[in-house]
Amino acid sequence: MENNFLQSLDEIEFHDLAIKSLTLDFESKSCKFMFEEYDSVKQIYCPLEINFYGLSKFISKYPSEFDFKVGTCYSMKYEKQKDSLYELEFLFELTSLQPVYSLTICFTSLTVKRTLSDKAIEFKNTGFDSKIDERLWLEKNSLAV
Amino acid sequence: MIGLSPQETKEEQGTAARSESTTLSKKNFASIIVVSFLLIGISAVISQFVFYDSNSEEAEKVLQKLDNDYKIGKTLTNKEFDLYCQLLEKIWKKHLKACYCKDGIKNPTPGIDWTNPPSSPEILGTDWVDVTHSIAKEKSNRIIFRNRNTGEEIAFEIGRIKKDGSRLPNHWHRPNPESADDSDYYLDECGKPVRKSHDDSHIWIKGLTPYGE
Repeated sequence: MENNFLQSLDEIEFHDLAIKSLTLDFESKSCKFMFEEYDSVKQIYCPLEINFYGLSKFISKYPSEFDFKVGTCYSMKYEKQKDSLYELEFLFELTSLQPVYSLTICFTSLTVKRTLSDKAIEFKNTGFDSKIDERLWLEKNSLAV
Repeated sequence: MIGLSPQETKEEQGTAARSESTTLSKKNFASIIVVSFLLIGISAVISQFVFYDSNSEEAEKVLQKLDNDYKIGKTLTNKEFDLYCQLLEKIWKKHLKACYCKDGIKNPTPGIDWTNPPSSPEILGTDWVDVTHSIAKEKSNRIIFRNRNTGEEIAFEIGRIKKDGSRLPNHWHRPNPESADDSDYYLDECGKPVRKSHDDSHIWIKGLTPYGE
């Protein structure tokens, strides 16, 4: 069970991922991040919802000289603290592409609701060398746009 | 001369009609066969253009021919030109500007061709100043440069290693200075505004040699 939710997190490429909102629920000690993934196959944007439960830490930090204008997510990393407790850090860019805004949480479990299609995930994971390779892959998979 | 009765005439006409019908059926059958072969042939030709194995000797020959045709000014079809661009990149590692940005280049950066961007920031020149914040330096693989004359900012990203061991390729980002919201946050290699998370916001390093420019 534990591996399942971590695996679902590992499968997501957070680099340059657009973040739409963050909702904190103090009563239930949970938070919800809404991201937006791009589906290169259908050329549409797909919501990605991640809920963290059992929050025991929430640290939001950025240099004061920056406006709080959040760009995209730069990276995500997590590590196990002790049994069923994880610390996770999102790094976001603020204006001018500077990845300086860190958001650190501790949680016990999470859920991922991903709406990106399997084919679009396969496309993302293929790692193309060029635009031409991307187009050929789409054509070979009868997904030419 | 033997005259035919109306009955005999009708029978003869019937026989002639059946014979004509049989001939027509044969003709139709032959036409279907010909059309089928034609369709198979066309599909084979198209598939050659779409799924060309760029490592084959045949591909080199095709590239030579297309290159020659292009240089002498012969008009290539869209499919032929796409194939020419593909093989130029794949086999000769050459970059032909005409292969990119068919709608033209917008928001150009003086001294940088974003369709074949610098493979390293070291060759940017002294007009570009490193303005990466200390936290960004500590926590990311991103280096942000500002042009001291124009104020334009660009970012170079060293591709990090993913959990599966593979490395994301090095790339550039161009923030859109005129951005109003998420929909036009970046510029792509042609200078066209693109939305956050869009694949085209990554300007991949191709490492190609300029060709015919």
